[in-house]
Amino acid sequence: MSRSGSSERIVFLRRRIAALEAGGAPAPVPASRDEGLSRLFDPGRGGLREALPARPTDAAAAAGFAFALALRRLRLRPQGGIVWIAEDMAARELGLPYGRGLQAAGLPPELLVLARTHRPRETLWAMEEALKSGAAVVIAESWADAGAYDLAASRRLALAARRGDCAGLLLLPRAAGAAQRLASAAEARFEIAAGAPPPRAEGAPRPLPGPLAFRLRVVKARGLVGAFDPQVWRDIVFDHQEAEFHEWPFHALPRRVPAAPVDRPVRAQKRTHAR
Amino acid sequence: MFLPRLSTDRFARKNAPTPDEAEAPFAVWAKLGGAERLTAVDARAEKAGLAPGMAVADARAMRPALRLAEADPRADAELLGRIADWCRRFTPLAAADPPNGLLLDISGAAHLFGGEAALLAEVERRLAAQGFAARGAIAPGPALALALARFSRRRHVAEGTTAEELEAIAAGLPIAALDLDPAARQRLDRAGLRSLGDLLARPRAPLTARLGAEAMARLDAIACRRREPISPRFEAPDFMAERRFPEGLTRQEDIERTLHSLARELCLLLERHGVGARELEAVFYRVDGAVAHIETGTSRPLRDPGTIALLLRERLAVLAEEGLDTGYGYDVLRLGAGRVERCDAPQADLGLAGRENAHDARLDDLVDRLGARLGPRRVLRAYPQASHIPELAVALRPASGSAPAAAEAAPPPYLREGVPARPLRLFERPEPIEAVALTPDGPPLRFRWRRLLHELAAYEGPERIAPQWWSAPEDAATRDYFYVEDREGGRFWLFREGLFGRESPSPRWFVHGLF
Repeated sequence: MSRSGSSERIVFLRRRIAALEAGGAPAPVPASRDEGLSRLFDPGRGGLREALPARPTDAAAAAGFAFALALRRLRLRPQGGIVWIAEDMAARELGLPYGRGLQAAGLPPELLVLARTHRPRETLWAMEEALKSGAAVVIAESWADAGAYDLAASRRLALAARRGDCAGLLLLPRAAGAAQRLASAAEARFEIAAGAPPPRAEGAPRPLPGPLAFRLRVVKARGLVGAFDPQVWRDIVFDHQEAEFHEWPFHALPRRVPAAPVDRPVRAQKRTHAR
Repeated sequence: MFLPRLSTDRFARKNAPTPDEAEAPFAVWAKLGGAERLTAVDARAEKAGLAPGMAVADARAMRPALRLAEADPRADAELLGRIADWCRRFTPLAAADPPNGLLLDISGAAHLFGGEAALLAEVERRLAAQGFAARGAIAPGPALALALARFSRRRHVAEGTTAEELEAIAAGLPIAALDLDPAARQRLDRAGLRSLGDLLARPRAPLTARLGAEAMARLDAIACRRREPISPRFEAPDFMAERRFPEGLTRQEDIERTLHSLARELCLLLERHGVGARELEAVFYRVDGAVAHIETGTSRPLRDPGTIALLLRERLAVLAEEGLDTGYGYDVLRLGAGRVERCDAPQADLGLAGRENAHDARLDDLVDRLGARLGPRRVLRAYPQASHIPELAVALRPASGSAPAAAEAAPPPYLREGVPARPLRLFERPEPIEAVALTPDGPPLRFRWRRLLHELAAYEGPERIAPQWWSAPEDAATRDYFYVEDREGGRFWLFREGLFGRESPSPRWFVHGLF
């Protein structure tokens, strides 16, 4: 076979594979940008998604994003709940999901099942089982490195998600900053950083923190070829009452200033007045 | 069953003696009341005139070649427990009777082994093959059987024996069968009472006054005047399926397949009774006497062979990871439902409610499966509690257990419209930070957490949470919580422990959660 013949053949095979993976659906077409974002967060699509923090300090934000995505899926397609798989190492570094906080963010506590694992292997096994059962939206946070979470492992998870028609979100805090280099069979991969803090005017007191915001880069989105520039950061805000993401330039958010505490000790209050 | 040489057999099994050692008598000793005395002797030592209770020095003087080992009652008890486990291959009801007896309830099980006598011979033969001297007896009452095994040549008392005949048999036993303390035994000996028959023939009241009610209860039990229950090591499961093989199974796939077919049998049984299993127990008997147990709980009554087999496979996989030692193979596999609950046949309803139920059932199955592999204590559900202390406001309990009574919990607080006042993640233990604050009760300007400096960009607070005065220890301090955002956008939930000047001269700062 000639050289050009073999490359043609590879292109042909790739198309066949893409068609097979899409379940016989027509080949994916490039989507426009706005449509892309809404389709990206479309809860109807199951599959495996990965959230990686941009820096190690963004791990909590990435977890928050994964939770927001799971909540959106759960709100629009009711299922048994959220199965949250937390590895011991991740729990040590980031803490455990907190029922009251999740409740405040819109998840009734009875819908949460928390599974704790010791090792990345256990985490991946538990995630595969949970995805296969199709009983719930699955969030897993694993301290796995590239050795434990490789192409084969991600392929297993992706197939399990498809079998169970289930959405799985895998959080890899240890792979901070490696989103562009990771090779996996995931449906989509997000690189997450914490949203920028509200700006502070010169001489003004410190503002109040805003709603939950993320900076997001779509590194990979299967089926949405060309819709996203993997180099571009976008600011998004999660509205947990509507369970919706909004792309929102940050300066448009309302700003407020914290009130002085009312029950301060008398001495401290006097000092404030004197100033 | 009576194992007269349990202690010495244990040593002989553990380290096989060299040929010239094997000729020497062997005994086990312990310190009793300040003196070193023999507690058990092997057959050769007994023939040489040694007996338990003898001082070690005397025994040495009599037999210089005597080999000695220190007694380990705990190891003996453990071994006896393991033997009792092994005996459950003959009948589900087996109990250990320390220090050296075993009780097997063989009613309804003997015909499987070709009759009672054949069963007894089989048990003795198998125990002997494993290196235990054993003497058994079969009788309608457990106490009588034990006493016969220990003190009589009579091996078999048939089920239909009349009360008079039973008493006659008991009458032939020596006083020692009562297991009295030495002083009481001596008193009876002086009075010329040598056998139980002497006691049975006498009026009860004076005997009770002398020996105590306990000894009389024992006497009644031996004479089968009173039925004594056996308290088995493991409750016999209500529903059970079992398979025996002429040769041991060694391959894991074979074991799994057998479990699956056992599960099918068990589910048929369960279905006939309209119940589902809440606790499952699989027991594997190895050819060489080792017994492996697998237990697993379920969060809803189960009656589906596939699900049961899957659950057991997870547990088996955990065992296999630790190294399931199939050795020469397992020849008896048994699957039982320890606890059952009423379980009605599912309705073939395809409505919306049915679908939701299906989701719940699938989630329950998933919880079981995860629990089987990770351990039931690692799969949790969050239950809100009526407490304003953040770490007490939610209790994490095993998801497979039943839900605790719902506590009247307040709705979670919000800072303002749309901004929750509680973090998404909470550290199991608040982590101390170094913080610099401008005012004693103000927020920190900057703080250092895990060697990283965070500069404050926005904050809200304080939210003051006082300790629960009715239950907290004396030195519990008030906490002032701050919702803090740093320049990088990281969101933290910090608190200062102790009010400055009032509760603590230098309050400490902690990070408790992340948003």
